Amino acid sequence: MKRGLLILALGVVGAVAAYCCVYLMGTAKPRAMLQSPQPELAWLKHEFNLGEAEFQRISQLHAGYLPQCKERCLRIDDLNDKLSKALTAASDLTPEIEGYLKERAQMRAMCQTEMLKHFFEVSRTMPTEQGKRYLAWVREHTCLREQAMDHGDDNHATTTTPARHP
Amino acid sequence: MKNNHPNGDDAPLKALLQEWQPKPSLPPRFQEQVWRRIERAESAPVPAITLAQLFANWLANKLPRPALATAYLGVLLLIGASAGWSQARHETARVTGELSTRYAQTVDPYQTTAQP
Repeated sequence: MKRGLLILALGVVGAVAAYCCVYLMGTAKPRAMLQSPQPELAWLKHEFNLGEAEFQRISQLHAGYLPQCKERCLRIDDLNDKLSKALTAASDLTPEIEGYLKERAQMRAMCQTEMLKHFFEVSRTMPTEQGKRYLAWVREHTCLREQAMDHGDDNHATTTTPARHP
Repeated sequence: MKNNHPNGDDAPLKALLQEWQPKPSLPPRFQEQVWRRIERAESAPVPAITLAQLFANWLANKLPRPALATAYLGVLLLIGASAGWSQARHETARVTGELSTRYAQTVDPYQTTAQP
């Protein structure tokens, strides 16, 4: 009976140990990415098989791009506020409102242009094939993929959230 | 002193014992009682074996056999490893998805969200 119990316990302990070992080995990469200073860039390195030199260059590009992007977002937020105030006070379309709308649209276009420039620059830093993959990925996952127009007929409508950095 | 139990020298007694055939008489309704006992034994409830007893018996007698013990340990290791692998894949996919979204949000503040 004792021997049977020992084997039974050994089996359970072995199963738990096997679970932990395989789980820890299997999640080593994601854990390392999460513990890195910039997890999202660590993901980029992992996803697009970047070498250390490429990764350093892309990190520099990323660090250079973000402050400019945030600045543009602040300007758009500012224009949004101004437009909102002008709309609250107005009962008709005024030249002021029209001006804010145009300025905001220009700022958004500029924001997207700069974003696209950044994507191209990053893709050129990567090996050719990975660069193509990266461009395909950003086309799919960023605002470059224009949302379908919706007049409320479709139940699966999408809306654009305000420009906001995480 | 005279021996009261001489060995093999009492021939008449020996012959008499050989001729003697006892005829025991069976008690009344003997056969019927025998069948009744058999019926009673057959209809008596078999003592129930609980699951715990079965398990204890298996643990004490079957599991310690080398072949079964090896198979048992192997299967449990395999189950543990498979569960760990499956969970690790799930976790890796979750973290990867989360980080890719974070990257997209970092470089593109115009992220869209689907509404039901």
